[in-house]
Amino acid sequence: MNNEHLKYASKTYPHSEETHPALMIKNVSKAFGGVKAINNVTLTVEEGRSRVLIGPNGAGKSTLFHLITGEIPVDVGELYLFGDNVTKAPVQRRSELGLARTYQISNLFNELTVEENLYLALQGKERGADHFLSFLKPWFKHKKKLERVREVAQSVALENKLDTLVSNLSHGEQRQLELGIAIAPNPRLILFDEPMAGLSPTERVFMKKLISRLSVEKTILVIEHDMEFALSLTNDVTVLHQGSVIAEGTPDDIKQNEHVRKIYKLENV
Amino acid sequence: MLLTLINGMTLAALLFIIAVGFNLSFSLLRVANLAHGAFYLFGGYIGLSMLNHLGSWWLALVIGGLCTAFLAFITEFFLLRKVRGDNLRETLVTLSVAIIVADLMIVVWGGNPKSIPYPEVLNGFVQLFNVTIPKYSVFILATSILIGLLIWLLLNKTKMGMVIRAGVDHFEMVSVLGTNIQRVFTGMFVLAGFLAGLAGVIGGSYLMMSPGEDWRILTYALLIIILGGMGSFGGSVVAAFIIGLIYSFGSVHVPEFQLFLMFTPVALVLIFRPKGLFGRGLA
Amino acid sequence: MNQMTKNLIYTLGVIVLLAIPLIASDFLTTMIIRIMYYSLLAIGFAFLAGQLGLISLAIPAFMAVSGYTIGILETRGLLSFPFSVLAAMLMVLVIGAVFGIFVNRSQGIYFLMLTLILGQIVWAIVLQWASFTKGSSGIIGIEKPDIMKWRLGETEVGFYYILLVCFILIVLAVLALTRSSFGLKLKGIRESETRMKMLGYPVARLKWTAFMISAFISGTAGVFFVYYTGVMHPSSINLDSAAMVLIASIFGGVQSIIGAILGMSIIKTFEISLSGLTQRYLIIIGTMFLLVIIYAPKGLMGLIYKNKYMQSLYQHWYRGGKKDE
Repeated sequence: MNNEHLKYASKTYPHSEETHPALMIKNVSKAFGGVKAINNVTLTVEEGRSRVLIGPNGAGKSTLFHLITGEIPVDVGELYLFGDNVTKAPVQRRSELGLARTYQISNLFNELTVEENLYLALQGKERGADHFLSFLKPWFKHKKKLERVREVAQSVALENKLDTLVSNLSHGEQRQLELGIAIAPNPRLILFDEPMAGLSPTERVFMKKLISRLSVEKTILVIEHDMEFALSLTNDVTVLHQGSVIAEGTPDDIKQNEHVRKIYKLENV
Repeated sequence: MLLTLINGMTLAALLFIIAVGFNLSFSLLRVANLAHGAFYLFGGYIGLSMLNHLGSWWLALVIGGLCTAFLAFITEFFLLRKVRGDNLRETLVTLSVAIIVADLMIVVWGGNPKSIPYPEVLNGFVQLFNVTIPKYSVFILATSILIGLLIWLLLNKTKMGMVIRAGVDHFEMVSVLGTNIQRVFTGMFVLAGFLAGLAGVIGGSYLMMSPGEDWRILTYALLIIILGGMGSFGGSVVAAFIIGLIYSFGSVHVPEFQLFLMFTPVALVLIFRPKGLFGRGLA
Repeated sequence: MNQMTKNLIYTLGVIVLLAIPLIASDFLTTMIIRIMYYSLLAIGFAFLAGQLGLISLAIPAFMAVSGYTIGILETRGLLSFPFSVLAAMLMVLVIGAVFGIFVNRSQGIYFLMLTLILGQIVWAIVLQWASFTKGSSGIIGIEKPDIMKWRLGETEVGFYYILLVCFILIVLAVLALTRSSFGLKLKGIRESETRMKMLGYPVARLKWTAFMISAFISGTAGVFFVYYTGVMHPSSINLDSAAMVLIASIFGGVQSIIGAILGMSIIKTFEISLSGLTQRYLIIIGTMFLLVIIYAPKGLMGLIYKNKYMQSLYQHWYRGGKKDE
């Protein structure tokens, strides 16, 4: 691996005068049927300060991600992205503000090639780029975009797989592409939903490297069970249990917390 | 006015028998059985032939239902299972079955409209609370109430019903429930076919049977599912009544827009309540 | 293949197509004309099915909208040729826009069911609103405009040439669409709507646009249908004809509209040659379709593309030849 991806990743957004937290969740709740999946959660992620979200299975971590991206609407509470109230904003709007995510179960364009996948990922934010007759222009003639596709592919080590159909990739490669699609639009805040799920030890090493490098440049919010790795990224930890935040702080604070210890012990039995 | 109301209720009862099986098999298997209308018509034609051979309407009713159930079994067991897992392909298989069966029916029973004569017992009228009602209407209403009751009991009081309800609510869960689920799928599909065949004989006596009727019945069944909500038993009841009443009042008062009117509640539901009146949704 | 042979093949193809009405029998010309306008329906279908994975049963409904609009306007003397066609296509776009809103949220079987119902609505209106559409007796006596009656020697070629030009333009435009970035976006929606939304695409608007394009192409078929046959009848737009469009297209393969055209050509040839022997050819067509669905879901084109050479030709076209080295 070279540092190719850093060059790419360092294209940053123009900052506004005031600084806002990248993400602010205020008293958000969500119920499915009668069950409260998310209960009065408040959480702030400052720009440049990544955060790890941990908690036992069924704690509502993935649901919280869905609420942040807008794939599921919140019942009560407010959501802010970079200072903008996006509580009711559609997914597209949040994406425009610089939000991206990966999925726990790979959500890729399976019958398309890696190149087409990344092309779509890059093009999403471009507005008004298509003029009236652009439909006559084949997609592979957009040379500039293809170059950028190659750059992104390089940064996730898929540059030799550009013409492979996603359904023919290995699981590890699919996870890499999942990451590639998330970073391609050059987002400011990335949500990682268990990026290492199901990876082999060698693949994990590689994925860890990728994410650590990203965490230097971007703000990330990550759900991860590998505590050692998660804590190597950041010192900000939030523990979610049964839809509520039960602890927040540095790894040491968390380890000291009675409540957390109780839960994890119970989980281990 | 009163007669129109009774006609509407009768049609609604008939449509309910057709739609309820369709709705349940659709929401369990996730296959829109486009051959459902052809099954209905097939049951009717079989019933007609049986009546001519055996002379008993009641026997014709049962055999019509059973033959259609068998046709449904063949469709599910030999065709749908081959493409299981791809709902769109399964639905296209049912479409080709619909076309083949429809054409075979023309070969066997010809293209002229036919009708099954009522049995002696159901001819004439009864007096109910000072209202004169055709016996046949009473019979259809009673039958549909009976069938509705039996299905409700099946769904709510038996183990198989529990599996069905679980499957309707959480499709992904069904596969976890074990291999037996294939049999439940077949059972549900065959039951829907049986009900369609039964309704075919009853409907063949009440309405006309002719080529094209299969698509009409299918469309009504789809309207009821979308209006009432997918997988919703109660929704099927309510929607069947709405559609039946609009049909009968429409044909009296605005014959030129009768069919169109039947589509309007569906359009409104799609705009304001895309999940249907009682449904869990057109996901 | 080098550029020379390519050009030679194209030129030859165009010459043959142009010469058909002059050298072929009336029967053959009629058949080719019918195949062409029915193929427009198949293209409208295959565009949605191939790019978006949406199976529409409302395709003939748009043929009905344009055909009936022309029929009603012209037989009542309200508007005549170029304007009636403009009005018809405008009507197609308006109805397509409204239908598009209804079906936009749906996917898979639900889309199929909703379009089935929408198609039935149109059918119900033309059947029952007899004072306006002549109901089950149909509108008859719609005359070809003069320009379509244009003769070359003894043969009337105007209609054929206009249809041919429109057909080729539409095929080329749709082919271009399928490999444009717009087409790629539609494929992205087919594969994962949620991801496309997360990437910031206006998914609903893209689907709606695709639906409109499909409606427009199907509407064009109606214009040629009504002028060629001179008749608009509910039976030509019923569910059977919707199923026929679906069967022909999927039979040929919807990944590429070439497959749909191939499928429609085969089915129509079949229909015309079998209908002389028996009226019950639907049994045969239905069985063929059943076999295709079960054993070759990608249709004939899927089988053809299994051939390495054909596959490489396709890849060359779709990916701009850069993978040929």
